[in-house]
Amino acid sequence: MAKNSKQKVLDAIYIAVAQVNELRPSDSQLECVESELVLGESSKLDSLGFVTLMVGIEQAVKDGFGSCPSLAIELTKQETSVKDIGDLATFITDTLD
Amino acid sequence: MKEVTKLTIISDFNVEQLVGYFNNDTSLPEIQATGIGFGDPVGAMISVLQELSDDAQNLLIWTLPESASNSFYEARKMTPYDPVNVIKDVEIFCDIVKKLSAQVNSIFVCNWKIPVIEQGYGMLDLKEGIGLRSLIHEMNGVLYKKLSSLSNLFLLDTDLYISPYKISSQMWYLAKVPFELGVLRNLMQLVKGCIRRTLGETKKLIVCDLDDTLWGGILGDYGSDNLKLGGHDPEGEAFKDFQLVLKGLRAKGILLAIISKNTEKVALEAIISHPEMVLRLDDFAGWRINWSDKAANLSSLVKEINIGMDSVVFLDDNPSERARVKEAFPQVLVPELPQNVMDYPQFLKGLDCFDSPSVSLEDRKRTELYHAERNRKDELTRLDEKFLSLDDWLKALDLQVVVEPLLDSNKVRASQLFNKTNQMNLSTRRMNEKSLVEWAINDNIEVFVIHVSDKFGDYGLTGFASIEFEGTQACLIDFILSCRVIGKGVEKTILHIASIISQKRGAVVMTAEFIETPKNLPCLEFFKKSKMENHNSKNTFEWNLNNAYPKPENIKIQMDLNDGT
Repeated sequence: MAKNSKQKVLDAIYIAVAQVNELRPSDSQLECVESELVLGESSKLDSLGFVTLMVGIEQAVKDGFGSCPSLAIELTKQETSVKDIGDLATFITDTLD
Repeated sequence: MKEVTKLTIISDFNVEQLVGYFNNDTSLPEIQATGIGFGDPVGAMISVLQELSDDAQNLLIWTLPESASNSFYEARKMTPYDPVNVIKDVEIFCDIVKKLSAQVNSIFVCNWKIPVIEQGYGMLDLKEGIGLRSLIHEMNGVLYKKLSSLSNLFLLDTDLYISPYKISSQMWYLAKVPFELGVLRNLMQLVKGCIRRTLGETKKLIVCDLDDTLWGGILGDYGSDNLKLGGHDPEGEAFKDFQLVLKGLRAKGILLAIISKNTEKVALEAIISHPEMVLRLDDFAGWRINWSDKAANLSSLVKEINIGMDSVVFLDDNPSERARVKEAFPQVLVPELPQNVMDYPQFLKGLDCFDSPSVSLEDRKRTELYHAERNRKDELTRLDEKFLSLDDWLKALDLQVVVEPLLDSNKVRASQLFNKTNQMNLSTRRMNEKSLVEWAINDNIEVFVIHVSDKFGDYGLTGFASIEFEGTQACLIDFILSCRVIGKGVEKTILHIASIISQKRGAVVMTAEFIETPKNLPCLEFFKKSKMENHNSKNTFEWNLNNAYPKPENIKIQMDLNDGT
């Protein structure tokens, strides 16, 4: 169940990544891979890019699952182990479960 | 070098994402956008006003209503408000925008809107003096009234890009962006479309099929009486409405033409006599109704109408005909028509490729101009058969030229002619209407335009010339003539008028320097054949003003210049 859900969450994340990439130069596009960093100094995203991606993911996950945690708040208010897209998909899947 | 259009976005919220959309969108024109004003758009407008001196710059002003009016901000707290104060605020906002418009190439201003989700005063919200929506309507009214007359300013309807999407509370609280990404993408596409139109990219000719496009059914099989058109039939009504939309586009200045595989006589008879036809023969600038290849027909029709293939939209219900034209002429816009004919009218209304930054009287009369031209050609063919000489033919035309200075009443068309004419154009300068008018009022400049008509009708405003004076020298800067009137002696008439104006200003010599482009060789050919002297191999021509340049005998001139001539 969790594995199946995680793939669906990843699909939702990639929809949001594609939307965010429309705003970004061709040489700094986010890749649709689990290892793409979304948090931390090595991430390609600045704060606005991060917020835009999180809001986009929330919407895409809501569309697919009916609900989603408030990611931008959850991932910034506490120490989080989420660093890349794979971690993020796990975090969302666990929350949904 | 790639041309980049500069755009400054002034807003009271975070437009970084919108800037991202503009800067990373790959469609043409390439836009280099920057955003300013976050928190204080009026302050940003004033600072732009003081610092900006780049007339190649374009501005997009997108504000929330409370930023334009502090009084509206108070009203939004549901406290009683005085509409007079709100209107005063908006007038000040408009005055600043007006000043900005004088300093930039184009300026786009978004109107204001209360989000659909906000109740405001509910059932009282459209009541004057109470409701917020009523107040927004008043604010927008002032905006339209005060700004509509500016030719380089375009008011954008917020509904066009916000309605399908939503206000985003999350993005507002997290990043001070009040809208979903879709709104920003829509606005970017809308503004880019507008910029394309200001750069002259607009469609001018719609070529339609007949069977199952202008009417339902196959004329050759069913006969005219059994076509689906109007009447008490849902599809018939849709076809009639489709024709009404086309008629509206024709009134706006878009030319209509027909390419259909049919028997010409039968099809023309249906167009003339079917009681429910909205479009009649007079509405079409030309047609090819035969059994030949549609791409070949399009090529010859476009040549006859004398319009660029990139100005054409081809409407045909048959996918294979569409594919044929698309493949033969990639520059032609060939939209996929909806599956359901009842969607045809709305589909046509939704196409934005016919938008234009201005609509002149000549635009609205364009079909009549083409009819007159067709009559001329018909008569020329008849006269050809009688072996009439060209001179005799030109005399028989009764050509008249009316000369005017650049005026408010003709500046829109003059600017179109100035910026779109390629072939008979001495220097091919490009300038928007505002810059052109500003340049023309310099003391050492004389500008005149000409209207040409003959016994078949009016060609409209078809010529533009400007002369710059320095001491006793008159320099012809612009010499522009629409291809509609080339070869009838009007070229020489412009030189005649220019020489008379130059003599009156005390000049002793009139010069013209030809600046070559890939398209204006016909202009060089004319000057080489003219009586102006070409002293050396350079493309500079000279006329001694002891005498005026000779006026062609076949043309009557009416000078309507400000000096009483």
